[in-house]
Amino acid sequence: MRSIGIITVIAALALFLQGTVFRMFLPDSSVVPNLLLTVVAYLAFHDPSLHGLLISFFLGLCLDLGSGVLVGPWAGGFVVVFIILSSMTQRIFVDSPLTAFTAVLIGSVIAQVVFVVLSMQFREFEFEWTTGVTRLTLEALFSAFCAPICFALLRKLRLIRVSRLV
Amino acid sequence: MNPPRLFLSGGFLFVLSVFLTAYSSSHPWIARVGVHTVGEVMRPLQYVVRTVTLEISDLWTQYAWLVETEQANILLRERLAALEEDNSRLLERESEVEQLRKLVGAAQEHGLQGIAADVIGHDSSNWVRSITVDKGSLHGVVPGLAVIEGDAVVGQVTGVSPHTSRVLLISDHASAVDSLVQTSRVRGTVQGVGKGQCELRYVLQEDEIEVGDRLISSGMDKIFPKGITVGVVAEVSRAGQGMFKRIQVKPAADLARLETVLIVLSGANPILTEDAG
Repeated sequence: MRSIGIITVIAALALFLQGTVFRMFLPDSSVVPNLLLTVVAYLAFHDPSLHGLLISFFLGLCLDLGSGVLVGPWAGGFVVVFIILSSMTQRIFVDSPLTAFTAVLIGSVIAQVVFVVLSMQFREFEFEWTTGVTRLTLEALFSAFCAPICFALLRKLRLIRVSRLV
Repeated sequence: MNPPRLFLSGGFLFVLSVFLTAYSSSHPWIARVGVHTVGEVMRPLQYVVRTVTLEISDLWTQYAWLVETEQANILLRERLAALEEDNSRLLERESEVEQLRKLVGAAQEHGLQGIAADVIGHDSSNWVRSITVDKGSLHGVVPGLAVIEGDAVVGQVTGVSPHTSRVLLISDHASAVDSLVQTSRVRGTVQGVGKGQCELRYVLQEDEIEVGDRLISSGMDKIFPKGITVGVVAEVSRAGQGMFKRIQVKPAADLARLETVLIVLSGANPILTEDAG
């Protein structure tokens, strides 16, 4: 119950940072890091269970609901990222900042590809290669650079039950 | 949980996501419920940030001024500070009045009734171009209403909460405005391409259109009132062997620097309005 409360606060805070604070100081067309995705990557590494999966799905829904266009693409993307990253927890050292960087970099690309594919399928959405790939890469890089800090903060919060097998 | 069961659950949730995406594409009310909830949760935080930013900006201006005047003349500092503060406040007021006058002027010119709204947030994702404004259903805003700034089209309300509304900008992929070239009366649809720019589509190769031509809303879409400036033709090219020209359009409104907009209350899309109710 405590972790659900914390996750809800984190989701609201991340949405607020992404949608208001970052946008206030950056031009409209600039790319902002996807902080919710770093939370998903953290959950995949430290809580690879149904609990973590459901929270990741919920975080994706939050991002979808904030946009007010389609409900589902980010949720789908986050689920895919969670499954892929959680399947690797036993094979890599998940507490390394480099791992956090790499995982979020790859996770961000995957989530955005799922988002774009679903959006193209179900709404008027044209993917222009030059702009799209640039935006996708920048978001992945910005998110990845934020990942080590976000991981450290989340670790401090101790919101995850110790369910990871060591 | 063992990996196969986790994969199975993940697969189920992914299929659920796809289903939700498909369902919400044909039932926009789902997304509106989300906007309603998220808008209400975010509104207090957005107000706090906006207020704090304005206060910091004022403090910084005053500090910079004080340093400069202290070096120049200590005796005149207090008087000048007061005058500068007054001047700054008056300039800000003048700017606000000018913005409101532009909004009201454009509304009166086109015989529209509207409500002025301040922009308090932007979309959290990089793939949707939308803004949040501080007027919602309690102020009479419903989904489907046109949003303009001065004499320029900004976008359309896609979701409302009691105190805020989500406005999809014309630069978003999902936006479309039925438009006319003001001089030649050639008709087409201005659609967003998602990078602060738009394209004019469905204009035949033989139609005459030039860079610099002004595009206005035709009013045929029953959303945007006729005669509002949509943008200016920035580039015209013949795309491949197709029937239509490829025309880049620069939106008339500066979508990156929106502060105050006018939500047009007359001219709501009746279908969306009923749907929202």
